[in-house]
Parts: sequence; C-alpha cells; structure tokens
Amino acid sequence: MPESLHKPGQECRRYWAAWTALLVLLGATCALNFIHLGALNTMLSLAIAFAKMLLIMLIFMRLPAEAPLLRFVAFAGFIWIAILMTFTITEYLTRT
Amino acid sequence: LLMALAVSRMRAGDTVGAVRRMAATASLGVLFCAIHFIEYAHDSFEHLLPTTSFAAADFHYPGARLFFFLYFGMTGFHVLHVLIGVVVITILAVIYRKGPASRHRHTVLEIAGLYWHFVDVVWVYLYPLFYLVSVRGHA
Repeated sequence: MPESLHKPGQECRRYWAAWTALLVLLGATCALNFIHLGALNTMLSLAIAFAKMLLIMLIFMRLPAEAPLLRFVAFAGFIWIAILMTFTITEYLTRT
Repeated sequence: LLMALAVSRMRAGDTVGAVRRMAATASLGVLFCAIHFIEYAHDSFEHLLPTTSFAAADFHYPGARLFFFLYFGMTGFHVLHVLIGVVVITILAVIYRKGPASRHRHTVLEIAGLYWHFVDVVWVYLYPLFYLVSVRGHA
C-alpha cells in the first residue's frame, strides 16, 4: 500500500476534495439537463455519471491500494451492473 | 464521504471517531429512504404506480407505464439495498462502540464501506436516468 494512503490528514483532504468534485459534477448534470441537446443529453449525463463512478471507485473505495483479487472482483461487479443496466435501457429505448 | 471517513478513522485506530461517522452515515441513509417513501406515497396518490389504476390517460407518449415500472423497480431495489446498508452499519456501530480498534474490525468495516459505495455508484446512474429525463421534458 502506498505510504501516502496511511496518512489520515492527507487521506481526509482527498475525501473532501472528491466529495466536492462529486457535488460539482452533480451540479453540472442538473444544469446540462436544462439545455436541449437531444440524444446528447443522455450521453453527456452518462459520461458525467461515469466520471463520478471513477471518483468513488478510486478515492472512496481506495481500489488502487487494494489487493489485485479485490480489484478484480470489484471490476467484475461493475461490469456486471453495466451489462444489466445496458439491457434494461436498450429494452426501454427500443420499445414502441 | 462519511463512510470513507469512518473507515479512515478506524484505520487510524480512532474507534470513537469511526462510530460517530458510521452513525451519521446510517442517519443520512434513513433520511434518504424516508424521502423515497414520501415520494412513493405522493406517486401513489397521483396513480403513477404501474398497476390497474395507472393514470395512462395523462401521458401522451408510449412506454410511460414501462418507465414507471422500471422507476419503481430499480429505485425500489436501490432503497432496499440502502436499508440493508443502514442495518449493517448500525449493527457494526453498536458492536464497535466499545473496545479498541483492531485489524479485524478495520477489515469488516472496509468491506461494509465497499458495499455502501457500490450502492452509491448505482444511485449515480439511477439519478440522471430517472429524475433528469422529466426535467428535460419540461425545460
């Protein structure tokens, strides 16, 4: 585990910074949806959601500092939820 | 944030600090669920539950019933997972209230934290997919 992750003060500042970034991205998502961009709205919203997911996984879940097996299991879990969501959205978007 | 801080405090050996942050996490989880249940009650009054009383006539686009089915299904399962997280965090907070921090306690709390953040990630996707589409519709 990197030495920097052992320092509570530094770690705490990193968490607060990540949380602030999440709030900024949340604001960006909300603001974006008041502008009509057609299909681009959903794509941009999902891109922002992806960025938020990365922040949570890398900072809050500390996956870079975890054991390779745990990283693999976490990655598999996220891929699985992505597959399920894709199927659900595909079904909804193609329903006439 | 609070759950990550709780795990961080436990790692630093501060059990009291960790338990306080766990209690705050669980409280916010309960608040989230309460807001959701109020929302569901409001939806029920407006006949938005995708049952026989669904107010289909109010919607002029196809798939409205399917949207509300997915909305209640996906947010409902999410709330269920938040409730499971709240129960787990509360039980751990009660157990960890007394006694020193240990490697075992840190590992258990870390796993609970991973679960909590996973549920968080699901919400990150559910929010724009279900709540912001209506904003677009009215903007």
